Amino acid sequence: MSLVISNLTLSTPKRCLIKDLSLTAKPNERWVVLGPNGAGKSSLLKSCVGLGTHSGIAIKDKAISDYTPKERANHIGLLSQQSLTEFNTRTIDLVLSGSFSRCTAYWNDQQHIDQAKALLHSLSLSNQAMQITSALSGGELRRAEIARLMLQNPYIMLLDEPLNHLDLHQQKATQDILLDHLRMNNKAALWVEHDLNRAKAIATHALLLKGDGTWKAGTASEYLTIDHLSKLLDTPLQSIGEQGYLSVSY
Amino acid sequence: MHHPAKAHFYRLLPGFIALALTSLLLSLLIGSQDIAFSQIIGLLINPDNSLDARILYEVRLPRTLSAFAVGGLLSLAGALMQVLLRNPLGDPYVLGVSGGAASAALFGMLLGISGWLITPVAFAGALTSIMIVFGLSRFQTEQQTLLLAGVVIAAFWGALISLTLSIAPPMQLPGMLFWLMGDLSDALQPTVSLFILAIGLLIAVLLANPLNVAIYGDEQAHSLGINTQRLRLMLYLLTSLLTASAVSIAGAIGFIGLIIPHLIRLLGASDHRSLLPLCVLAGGSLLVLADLLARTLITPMQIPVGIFTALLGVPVFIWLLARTRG
Repeated sequence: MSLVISNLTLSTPKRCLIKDLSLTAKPNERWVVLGPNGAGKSSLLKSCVGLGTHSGIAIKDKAISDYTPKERANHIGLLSQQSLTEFNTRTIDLVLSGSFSRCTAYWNDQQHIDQAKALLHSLSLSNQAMQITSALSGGELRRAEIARLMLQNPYIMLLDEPLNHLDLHQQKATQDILLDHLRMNNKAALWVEHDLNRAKAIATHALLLKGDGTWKAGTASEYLTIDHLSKLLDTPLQSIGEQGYLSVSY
Repeated sequence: MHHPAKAHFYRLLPGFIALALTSLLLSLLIGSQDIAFSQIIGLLINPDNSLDARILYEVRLPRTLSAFAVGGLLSLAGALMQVLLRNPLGDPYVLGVSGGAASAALFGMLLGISGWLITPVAFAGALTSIMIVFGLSRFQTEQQTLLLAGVVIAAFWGALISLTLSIAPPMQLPGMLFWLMGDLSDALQPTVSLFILAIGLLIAVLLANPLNVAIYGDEQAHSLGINTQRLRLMLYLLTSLLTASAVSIAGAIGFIGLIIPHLIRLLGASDHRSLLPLCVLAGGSLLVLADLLARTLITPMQIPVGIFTALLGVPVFIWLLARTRG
């Protein structure tokens, strides 16, 4: 299942962010989306899921707006950057909301409950399953939302800075879980990231958004280079050590 | 493992049904005319033409059922409004929706509209009011600001009601006064309100699963498979209909829609599949009991029930406000 973006233009009332973007994210491709703040990374992900401007977005030759809401949710899912928790729901219920598009009965299927519990366990949230979400730390809430997206299990995943708020240990653990999930299920993903070294570690492809309408898209080896990234971020970068870690030149 | 929300619902349900039956029975038993328990039961099973039977069937039973229906309507409206505004402190009275319905109804009466036609007029008033509040909530995400806006709108409707009362012909005044405080003494036709409550609960329960997703915000709800625009429109219409029906029967009774959903959430039933049915049972029971107090505390005088719910509701509201801030 591929995500096809053709001639998508995103603008704010004041300026053009992305002009005539075209790319195809195929199964097993992980597109890391990089760019300065306000370059339209989050807006692009929202477009892909059918929010805001979304002309030119299609999955499997069918425009995103032609899908029914549930059908769409089975094809493409979004992990937003911000989460809302004004209501006190339990962590397990937050995760279970990911099964909405597949749920046919009034109460959740036992199968989905078991899956939700297994996902919480794999993200080391078993002890928090029955806690109310407002009692979770930022990192725990983030992992619960990742569990929800994995329960939703769409063919294409849109991840907006998925590892935000996580401590170092959880960053690595959760990154591995996400990567395993994407690889094992042959999923396509757009992954917004600010950490350049993580971008290099996870990506097969890269989309660089400058924020002035211009963009570059291609394979990771072609575009995740010191040259391209220094220009993109207006910051001189250097490569450190044999691994070629990228760092700001101070 | 069982479904946590489902198991919890079935643990709570018997208690809520017992509460509803007890409050209904108490309300039938107690009144200014002493009728023995055995006699009430006898008359319920086998009605005759006695004075007691007439009191039971023409006064107490309809009033009790009206109270239950209004309480159920308001607490269901409150629970739905909280999702619509994504604000756990939403309530039709506090945010001026009841005021909008009451103003429109009063204005309609001044223009000579009467009988069942008042309900659609009240519905239009409720719809207008809820749209103003919702419009404001789109610009102001801050919870406290939204509440303030609702309170100001409620005050505006209050002023409009006072204006209508001050220019109304003196003959009509007693009939109009009750819109201000909420009163069940004339609510002797429970059939329509019970019907609307049943339909409202049915629709609400069918929406329970989408509502459980909608609480995470439009963006998440959309990407999880909700038609957010359609859901919002349905919530608009349903909340307005429920509030308008309650207001056209009993005037503006406050705080039921706030207290009841909160108490039930505190009992751990925050899942809308449990919350909504329990809201109807508990809201109905609470208003039946409040009305029982209102009509028996200083017999033979009757206090408007809205005063009781406000006396109970304001402290609870302040407590909840303090809790959500902290």
